[in-house]
Amino acid sequence: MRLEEIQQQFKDEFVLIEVTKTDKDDTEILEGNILAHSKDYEEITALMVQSSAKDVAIEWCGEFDDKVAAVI
Amino acid sequence: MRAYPLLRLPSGLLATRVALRGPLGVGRARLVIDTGAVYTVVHVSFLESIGAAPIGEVFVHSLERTLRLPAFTVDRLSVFGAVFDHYQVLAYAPAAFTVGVDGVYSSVSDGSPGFFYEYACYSLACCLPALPIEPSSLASLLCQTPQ
Repeated sequence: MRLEEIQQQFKDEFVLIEVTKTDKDDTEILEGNILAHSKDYEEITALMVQSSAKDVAIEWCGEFDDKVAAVI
Repeated sequence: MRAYPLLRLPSGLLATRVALRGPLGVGRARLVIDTGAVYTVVHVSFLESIGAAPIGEVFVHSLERTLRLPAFTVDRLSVFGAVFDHYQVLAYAPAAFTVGVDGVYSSVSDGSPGFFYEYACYSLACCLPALPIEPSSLASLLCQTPQ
Protein backbone atom coordinates (compact mmCIF):
# COMPACT_ATOMS: atom_id res chain seq x y z
CA MET A 1 0.00 0.00 0.00
CA ARG A 2 1.31 3.46 -0.80
CA LEU A 3 2.16 5.70 2.14
CA GLU A 4 -0.41 8.28 1.10
CA GLU A 5 -3.12 5.59 1.18
CA ILE A 6 -1.99 4.49 4.64
CA GLN A 7 -2.18 8.05 5.92
CA GLN A 8 -5.71 8.45 4.58
CA GLN A 9 -6.98 5.11 5.84
CA PHE A 10 -5.71 5.35 9.42
CA LYS A 11 -6.45 8.94 10.31
CA ASP A 12 -5.22 9.99 13.76
CA GLU A 13 -3.54 6.65 14.43
CA PHE A 14 -0.02 5.32 14.64
CA VAL A 15 0.64 2.66 12.04
CA LEU A 16 3.34 0.01 12.21
CA ILE A 17 4.54 -0.54 8.67
CA GLU A 18 6.65 -3.26 7.09
CA VAL A 19 8.46 -1.15 4.53
CA THR A 20 8.50 -2.65 1.04
CA LYS A 21 9.65 0.29 -1.06
CA THR A 22 11.72 3.39 -0.35
CA ASP A 23 13.22 6.21 -2.35
CA LYS A 24 16.62 5.67 -3.92
CA ASP A 25 18.37 7.12 -0.87
CA ASP A 26 16.74 4.42 1.25
CA THR A 27 15.18 6.77 3.77
CA GLU A 28 11.75 8.03 2.70
CA ILE A 29 9.01 5.41 2.75
CA LEU A 30 7.01 4.96 -0.44
CA GLU A 31 5.10 1.70 0.15
CA GLY A 32 4.56 -0.84 2.89
CA ASN A 33 2.37 -3.46 4.50
CA ILE A 34 0.25 -2.67 7.55
CA LEU A 35 1.31 -4.71 10.56
CA ALA A 36 -0.72 -2.91 13.23
CA HIS A 37 -2.44 0.37 13.99
CA SER A 38 -3.41 2.06 17.22
CA LYS A 39 -3.96 5.44 18.83
CA ASP A 40 -1.39 4.43 21.46
CA TYR A 41 2.23 5.03 20.45
CA GLU A 42 3.66 2.80 23.16
CA GLU A 43 1.44 -0.06 22.06
CA ILE A 44 2.79 0.26 18.53
CA THR A 45 6.42 0.47 19.66
CA ALA A 46 5.95 -2.69 21.73
CA LEU A 47 4.52 -4.48 18.71
CA MET A 48 7.44 -3.27 16.61
CA VAL A 49 9.91 -4.93 18.98
CA GLN A 50 7.93 -8.18 18.82
CA SER A 51 7.57 -8.08 15.04
CA SER A 52 9.58 -10.42 12.85
CA ALA A 53 9.54 -7.94 9.97
CA LYS A 54 13.03 -6.91 8.85
CA ASP A 55 12.25 -3.36 7.76
CA VAL A 56 9.84 -1.38 9.90
CA ALA A 57 8.64 2.14 10.53
CA ILE A 58 6.00 3.93 12.54
CA GLU A 59 3.88 6.48 10.75
CA TRP A 60 1.67 9.01 12.56
CA CYS A 61 -1.38 9.64 10.40
CA GLY A 62 -2.71 12.74 12.08
CA GLU A 63 -1.95 16.36 12.71
CA PHE A 64 1.10 17.41 14.69
CA ASP A 65 0.71 19.10 18.04
CA ASP A 66 1.65 22.77 17.76
CA LYS A 67 2.23 23.20 21.51
CA VAL A 68 4.90 20.58 22.08
CA ALA A 69 8.61 20.67 21.33
CA ALA A 70 11.05 17.78 21.49
CA VAL A 71 13.02 18.21 24.68
CA ILE A 72 14.90 15.81 26.92
CA MET B 1 21.93 19.30 -6.06
CA ARG B 2 19.41 17.01 -4.46
CA ALA B 3 16.15 17.78 -2.69
CA TYR B 4 15.20 15.86 0.42
CA PRO B 5 11.76 16.14 1.99
CA LEU B 6 11.50 17.64 5.43
CA LEU B 7 8.47 17.70 7.65
CA ARG B 8 7.93 21.10 9.22
CA LEU B 9 6.14 20.70 12.53
CA PRO B 10 3.74 23.43 13.71
CA SER B 11 6.30 24.38 16.36
CA GLY B 12 8.76 25.20 13.56
CA LEU B 13 10.96 22.17 14.11
CA LEU B 14 12.10 20.27 11.04
CA ALA B 15 12.04 16.49 10.93
CA THR B 16 13.27 13.86 8.52
CA ARG B 17 13.16 10.11 8.16
CA VAL B 18 16.32 8.25 9.14
CA ALA B 19 17.13 4.60 8.44
CA LEU B 20 18.84 2.69 11.26
CA ARG B 21 20.41 -0.64 10.39
CA GLY B 22 21.31 -3.42 12.79
CA PRO B 23 21.89 -7.16 12.68
CA LEU B 24 18.16 -7.89 12.90
CA GLY B 25 16.92 -5.42 10.31
CA VAL B 26 16.08 -1.81 9.54
CA GLY B 27 14.12 0.69 11.59
CA ARG B 28 12.98 3.91 9.97
CA ALA B 29 12.51 6.61 12.57
CA ARG B 30 11.27 10.16 12.08
CA LEU B 31 13.67 12.45 13.91
CA VAL B 32 13.70 16.17 14.62
CA ILE B 33 16.86 17.75 13.20
CA ASP B 34 18.95 19.42 15.88
CA THR B 35 22.20 20.97 14.65
CA GLY B 36 23.18 21.76 18.24
CA ALA B 37 22.52 18.39 19.85
CA VAL B 38 25.55 16.39 20.89
CA TYR B 39 23.77 13.05 20.58
CA THR B 40 21.19 11.46 18.38
CA VAL B 41 18.42 10.08 20.56
CA VAL B 42 15.91 7.48 19.36
CA HIS B 43 13.01 5.71 21.01
CA VAL B 44 14.44 2.54 22.50
CA SER B 45 12.05 0.29 20.60
CA PHE B 46 13.75 1.09 17.28
CA LEU B 47 17.10 0.01 18.70
CA GLU B 48 15.66 -3.15 20.18
CA SER B 49 13.91 -4.10 16.97
CA ILE B 50 17.08 -3.89 14.88
CA GLY B 51 19.26 -5.60 17.48
CA ALA B 52 21.56 -2.64 18.02
CA ALA B 53 24.56 -3.34 20.22
CA PRO B 54 24.56 -1.75 23.71
CA ILE B 55 27.85 -0.02 24.51
CA GLY B 56 27.21 1.54 27.91
CA GLU B 57 25.54 4.62 29.32
CA VAL B 58 25.87 8.36 28.85
CA PHE B 59 24.91 11.11 31.29
CA VAL B 60 22.75 13.75 29.62
CA HIS B 61 22.10 17.05 31.36
CA SER B 62 18.68 18.50 30.61
CA LEU B 63 17.20 21.74 31.89
CA GLU B 64 15.78 20.12 34.99
CA ARG B 65 17.80 17.00 35.69
CA THR B 66 20.52 14.64 34.66
CA LEU B 67 19.51 11.52 32.79
CA ARG B 68 21.52 8.36 32.45
CA LEU B 69 20.69 7.01 29.01
CA PRO B 70 21.79 3.71 27.48
CA ALA B 71 24.01 4.08 24.43
CA PHE B 72 23.96 1.80 21.41
CA THR B 73 25.87 1.44 18.18
CA VAL B 74 23.88 0.88 15.03
CA ASP B 75 25.60 -0.76 12.10
CA ARG B 76 24.59 2.03 9.76
CA LEU B 77 22.57 5.24 9.74
CA SER B 78 21.27 6.73 6.50
CA VAL B 79 20.08 10.32 6.23
CA PHE B 80 20.00 12.89 3.40
CA GLY B 81 21.73 10.45 1.05
CA ALA B 82 24.65 10.09 3.44
CA VAL B 83 25.60 6.84 5.16
CA PHE B 84 27.38 6.60 8.51
CA ASP B 85 28.72 3.28 9.77
CA HIS B 86 28.97 2.29 13.44
CA TYR B 87 26.88 5.26 14.50
CA GLN B 88 26.30 5.92 18.21
CA VAL B 89 22.73 6.52 19.35
CA LEU B 90 21.22 7.08 22.77
CA ALA B 91 18.01 5.30 23.72
CA TYR B 92 15.09 7.04 25.32
CA ALA B 93 11.45 6.16 25.74
CA PRO B 94 9.93 9.46 26.68
CA ALA B 95 6.59 11.10 26.62
CA ALA B 96 8.62 14.20 25.77
CA PHE B 97 8.87 13.63 22.03
CA THR B 98 6.04 15.31 20.25
CA VAL B 99 3.46 13.06 18.60
CA GLY B 100 4.77 11.59 15.36
CA VAL B 101 8.42 12.11 16.26
CA ASP B 102 10.60 9.16 17.27
CA GLY B 103 13.65 11.10 18.46
CA VAL B 104 16.23 13.77 17.75
CA TYR B 105 18.90 13.69 15.05
CA SER B 106 22.19 15.35 15.90
CA SER B 107 23.99 16.49 12.79
CA VAL B 108 27.17 17.06 14.80
CA SER B 109 27.58 13.48 16.00
CA ASP B 110 27.97 11.61 12.74
CA GLY B 111 31.70 11.06 13.13
CA SER B 112 32.62 12.36 9.71
CA PRO B 113 35.10 15.18 10.63
CA GLY B 114 32.57 17.99 10.39
CA PHE B 115 31.67 17.31 6.82
CA PHE B 116 27.99 16.71 7.30
CA TYR B 117 27.66 19.40 9.94
CA GLU B 118 29.06 22.09 7.67
CA TYR B 119 27.00 20.72 4.89
CA ALA B 120 23.78 20.77 6.89
CA CYS B 121 24.41 24.29 8.16
CA TYR B 122 25.00 25.55 4.67
CA SER B 123 21.86 23.92 3.37
CA LEU B 124 19.63 25.05 6.19
CA ALA B 125 20.94 28.62 6.12
CA CYS B 126 20.53 28.91 2.40
CA CYS B 127 17.29 27.11 1.89
CA LEU B 128 15.03 27.74 4.86
CA PRO B 129 13.78 31.15 3.76
CA ALA B 130 12.37 29.56 0.63
CA LEU B 131 10.51 26.82 2.45
CA PRO B 132 6.71 26.88 2.75
CA ILE B 133 5.58 28.12 6.15
CA GLU B 134 2.27 26.31 6.41
CA PRO B 135 2.13 23.99 9.43
CA SER B 136 2.62 20.32 8.68
CA SER B 137 3.52 21.01 5.09
CA LEU B 138 6.22 18.99 3.45
CA ALA B 139 9.12 21.19 2.62
CA SER B 140 12.26 20.50 0.71
CA LEU B 141 15.80 20.96 1.80
CA LEU B 142 18.27 21.33 -1.02
CA CYS B 143 21.45 19.42 -0.45
CA GLN B 144 24.36 18.27 -2.48
CA THR B 145 24.83 14.56 -2.39
CA PRO B 146 27.94 13.72 -0.36
CA GLN B 147 30.79 12.37 -2.45
